[in-house]
Amino acid sequence: MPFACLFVPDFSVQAVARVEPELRDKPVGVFAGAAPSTKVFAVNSAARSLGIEVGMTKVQAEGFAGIEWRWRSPAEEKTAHAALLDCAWTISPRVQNAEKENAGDLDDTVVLDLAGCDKLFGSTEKIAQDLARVTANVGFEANVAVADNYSAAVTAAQGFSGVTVIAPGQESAHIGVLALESLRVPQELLETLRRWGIHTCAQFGALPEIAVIERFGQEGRRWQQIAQGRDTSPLIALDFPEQFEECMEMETPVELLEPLLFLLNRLLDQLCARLRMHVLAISEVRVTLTLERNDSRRKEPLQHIRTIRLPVPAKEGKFLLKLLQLDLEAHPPTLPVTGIGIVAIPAKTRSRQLGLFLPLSPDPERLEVMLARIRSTVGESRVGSPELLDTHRPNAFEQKHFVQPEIVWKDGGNEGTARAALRIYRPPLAANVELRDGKPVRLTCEGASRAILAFAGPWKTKGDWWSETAWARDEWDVEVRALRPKREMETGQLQEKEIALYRIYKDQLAKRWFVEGIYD
Amino acid sequence: MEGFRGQVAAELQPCGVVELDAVLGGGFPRGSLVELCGAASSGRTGLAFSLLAQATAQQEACAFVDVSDSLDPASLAAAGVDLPRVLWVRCGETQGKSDGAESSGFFAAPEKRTREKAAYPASEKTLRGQFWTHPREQLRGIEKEIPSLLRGRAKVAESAGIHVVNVRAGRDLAKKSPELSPSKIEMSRNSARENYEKASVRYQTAGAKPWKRLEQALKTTDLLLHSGGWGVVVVDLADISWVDARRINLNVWFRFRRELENTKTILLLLGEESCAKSCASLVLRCERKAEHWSRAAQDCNSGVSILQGFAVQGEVMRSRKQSQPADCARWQTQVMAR
Repeated sequence: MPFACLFVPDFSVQAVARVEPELRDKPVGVFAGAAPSTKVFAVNSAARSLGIEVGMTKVQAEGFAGIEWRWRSPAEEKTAHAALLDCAWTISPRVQNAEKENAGDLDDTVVLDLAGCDKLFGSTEKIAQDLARVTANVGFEANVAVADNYSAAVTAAQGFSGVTVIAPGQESAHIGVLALESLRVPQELLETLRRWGIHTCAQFGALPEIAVIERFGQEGRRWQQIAQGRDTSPLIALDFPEQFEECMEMETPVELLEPLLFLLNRLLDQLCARLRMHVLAISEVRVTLTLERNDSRRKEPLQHIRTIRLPVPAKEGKFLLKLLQLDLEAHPPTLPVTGIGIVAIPAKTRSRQLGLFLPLSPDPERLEVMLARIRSTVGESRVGSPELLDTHRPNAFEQKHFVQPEIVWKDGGNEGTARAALRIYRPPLAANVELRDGKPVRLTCEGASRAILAFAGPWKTKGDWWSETAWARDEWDVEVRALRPKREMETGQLQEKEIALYRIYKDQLAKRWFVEGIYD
Repeated sequence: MEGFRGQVAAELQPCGVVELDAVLGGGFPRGSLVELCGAASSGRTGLAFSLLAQATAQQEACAFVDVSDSLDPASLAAAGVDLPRVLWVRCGETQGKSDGAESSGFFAAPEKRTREKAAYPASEKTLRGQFWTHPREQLRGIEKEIPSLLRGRAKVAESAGIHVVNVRAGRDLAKKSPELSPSKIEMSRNSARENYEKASVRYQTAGAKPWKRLEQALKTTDLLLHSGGWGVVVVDLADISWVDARRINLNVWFRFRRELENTKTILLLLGEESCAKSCASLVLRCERKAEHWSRAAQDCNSGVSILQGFAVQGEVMRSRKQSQPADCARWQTQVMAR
């Protein structure tokens, strides 16, 4: 049963370079630790060739010119590890983190079970090449090894650079040439073996097993089995994540929206690339901006969280960036930003059968951006499709987010049923109505006094009498000269003879009259 | 002549009023700008709803740009419109958005460019700007606001009570500040009702020019047409005086017409008078001819009565397609049952 292993050398450096692609071809070092014990935590090969070594103090390291220095970011390492797992999940559903031998080991190694994958993806050589390509797309320079057992694959990936495929039965021969340091053997055991003159895995594997157990115990026996390329550990598969996360910590706070969007664009591209590997789209994006806190006495981070829910799953980073831009323009953070975290909730990609004779409908992704733009123009709560509420209260409605409904074919239209529409005044116009024998005869509103020419009513309605939002009103339809008459085209004077139909009502609780709207 | 395309017959969208569709040769032309004009209570809104009902019945997405925030969703539903297929954009909110809408040169009036806008271009909406404002900026414009406070005109307030409160506030201020002579305080001595009415008239006439709402509506329409895929886009200028509506630059309508070409979208413009001029492929004037009251209402002396509806006459004022100017259709509308 073959196993594959992905190992990212200089993981801390590559985690930083993944979100800053311009660092990939430069010598880069990573500091860790609080001053004054700040030391070099990791360097890449280019920096190593210039003489930088892990463990140097910051003062020593900064004496070297031409090296890009960054601080270690556990958050970025965590998302880099998640991205590495995603690479493995593209090939096999059975994926596991490699066991950590020491407490300080990084999550830089991932093992996947290739049982049955050859039927889907081809030979083990091709799978190994595919894994290398996928990890390169995510931004890693990873070592890939395929072997017939778990530990051999891990040892080969950590020991050989590039792609290594070990034929079944050849594990011992391949791993034997590796130095003992590549096994990550505990330092105490390593020093003992060195004193014995043992430097390679082959030499260690050739020692008598009983003698090794007598001197090193079961731990020594396990290391010897690893050096021999013999399987010792089972693979315990991880669960597929329910959300994908990318984050970044800035060394200097960002105060402007444009550079912030530039960084968001990078993270969104990374997220979309990871989701594309799983043929997934994004249904919800949650952006958490960590803000700079001026009050140094309080330690908890100040965060600005924005959530965008998409009615249709999206997989384009530019589209998401535009939505985020419009949202952040409407709701900007109040302080400079020192960290960004993006969480994406995955969803299955939209599949829709297109046709030549489908009715007109806006493109869902462009529709979302357009709605966001309109919201920024007229206001958040003033865009959407109307929905009537289940109540008799007049003018009771709400606006819901506009989503193009599914097509449901109905038979025919509603020809021949033209309706007179009511145009509502929001808020209703306060009016004064003169009554005679309980019937309206004169309407005064907006400084104009009009004789009522004809009327119909009253329609008495009331509701919610059991609550604080009680309402009661008497409605009348009246015909009067227009309250807001049109101007003449020729003279520009107001038309005095223009007649209009209005709906007026008396609020029985407030004992006041209002003009609710006009029939049109 | 070879190389010249023959005139392609425009696709027509029935509006749901049989009489009018017959006059128009089948309905409203798609991919064009159509104007419905008429006075108040002339039936133009009902006709627009009827067209929306037809379009949504064909599963098309429609948009209603409501310049005056006067759309009644209950009427829309009663007209047979499938509400989830209608995007309703309500213009007019000013809180927090008064400076947000960028001036796009829709109007002939010269653009007022403030010093703040010049200093900070729209692309650089800084986060820093949210942190702290210099007191000088906070006090800018206060010299213009104080006289309006004293006059009781105050800010545009859309509820009836606020006007009265402002008038009282002006009185209170006058009592508290005896150094302000009464002659300088332009305030009515009449009853609160009269004060309210005058304030309302000022609000409706001088104090509430619709430029901001129009600006929002035209920008929204531009976005809608640019995104494409809409069956009918209604721009409701019915509550805007034609005097104001005609201040919209003609190049706006030209641009809209160009965006509509080779699409299936109908841009329906409701207004008092035609303002898109030659950009409109069809101009219809609606006029209310006779309303139908229940018999009991006609003498104003009886009891409960009903407004049943009214007759509307639609006259073709301009048409590039089948129908000829002066063609008329008459149809009956029904008022929504309570």
